Amino acid sequence: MASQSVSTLKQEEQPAATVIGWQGIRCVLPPDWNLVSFSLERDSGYLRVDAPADSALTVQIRWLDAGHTQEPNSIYGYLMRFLQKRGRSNPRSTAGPDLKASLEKLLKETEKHARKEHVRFECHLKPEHIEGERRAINFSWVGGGRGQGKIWHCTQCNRVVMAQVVGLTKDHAAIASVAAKLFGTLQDHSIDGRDLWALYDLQIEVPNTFRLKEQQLYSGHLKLVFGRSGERLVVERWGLASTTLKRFTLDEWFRNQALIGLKNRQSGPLELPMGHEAVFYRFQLPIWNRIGALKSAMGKPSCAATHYAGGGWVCEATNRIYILQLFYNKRADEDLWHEVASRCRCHS
Amino acid sequence: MGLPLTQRIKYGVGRYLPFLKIGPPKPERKAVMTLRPCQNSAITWEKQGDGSVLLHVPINQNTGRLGAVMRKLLRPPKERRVELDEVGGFVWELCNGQHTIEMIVQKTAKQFKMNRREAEVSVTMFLQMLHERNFIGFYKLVRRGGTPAAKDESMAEKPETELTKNTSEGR
Repeated sequence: MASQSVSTLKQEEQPAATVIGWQGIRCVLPPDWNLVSFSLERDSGYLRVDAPADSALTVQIRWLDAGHTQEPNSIYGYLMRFLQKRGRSNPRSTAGPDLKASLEKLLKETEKHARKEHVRFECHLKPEHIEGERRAINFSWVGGGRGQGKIWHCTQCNRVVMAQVVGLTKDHAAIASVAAKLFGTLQDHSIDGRDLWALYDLQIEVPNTFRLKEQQLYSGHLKLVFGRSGERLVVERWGLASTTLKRFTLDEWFRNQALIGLKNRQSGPLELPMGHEAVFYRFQLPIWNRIGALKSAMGKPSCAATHYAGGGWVCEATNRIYILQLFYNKRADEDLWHEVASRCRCHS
Repeated sequence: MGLPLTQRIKYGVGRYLPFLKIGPPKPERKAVMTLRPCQNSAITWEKQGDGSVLLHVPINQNTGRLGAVMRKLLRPPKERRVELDEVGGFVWELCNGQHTIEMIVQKTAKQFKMNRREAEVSVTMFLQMLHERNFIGFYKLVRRGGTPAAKDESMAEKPETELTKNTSEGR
């Protein structure tokens, strides 16, 4: 399941299904489900996706990098880490993380909630089994609601992922149906070196070397900012394109939204694989911008952004404007803008 | 119908001492979505060519003697104009007491090709803003016996006399 390719995932999608992609986690859920809660960290985090409002179903996904060690927060912690490094090398355990212990911890929390509501709590754990690259345990619980989930450790990405579908006690059939869809499509690591970022009908694939730095999720405007050493990639999606473009041309709109002054710059039209025509600017960063880029390169001048590539296009089918801006280092990847733009799925 | 005195005191205390975390229960989303927004009859409006809507909101003239003197001296305008953009105008037109918030959300999402969730957030915020300014009020359909209507949509066509009117007072 984990080795499923992007093409297989796309084939499995129903036209109206909701695709969710966040921090390397990707899954397909029934139509109109939406991301409501998430964490920004990649090493350990969570994700909550809710069903449309007339249903109480929710999908919760938590992940933890099994190889990730916490940064010490005291002098004692730093000293211990230093001594451990100096001491004999500790051979890494081949057995992997204890899934049962992690699961029991989670179920205890759920049981606590059930006890507060004075209802009986029952959980059922299936024996640990191997699914391709995963070591997994299926579980279900009833008490103050109902949940069906799975916890697994993926040997490829070394992540421990816990996913469960939670609903009301009476929602047994609905939970089982969503769980089947979720576990059939859920992937926990990037494919072909790219992470899928998919939320609120925005679907874009970004190289997994980029990390999410900022996000702004407003109604009608989504903005994701990714960073890699001194490079920066900004993805924006604006709604109501027809209303916006009554007053401005796309080029004027893009010039207003650009993160860098585009005065005296000439745009070139660009044909994108989805059939849209984009306005596109590419140029070497002016010296004052390069000084700023050096600052964000964190002492690695060779990684600092030297060039700018930015463009936007209108997707008439979805009535949206997409904007991609990239501050990149010429030595790293010159065609990155085109690669990301061509992998943005603005309409089905 | 107002709240009992004990609850009013309790919620009044909770309002000024927020750390006590006592307040009126939040209305359920499902119940809110069945409300029917209705324009304030004191407001006149006109649709413009680009789809936007211009509202003419009368300004309250009853401000006492001093107000009357000031009015004579300064001659303030009798109305103020509020322009709603294309989306706002579309929602405003639907606020005719026949559409529930849920219906307005669905129509807006379809018209402007918005995500359902995005449309819901935008429309409810916009309606809330209109309500705070007394531009709209809300109907709630109830049966004559007092219980909520079993099938909301079927009652939309019934005459206004059968409905419980619960609109905010206009300016």
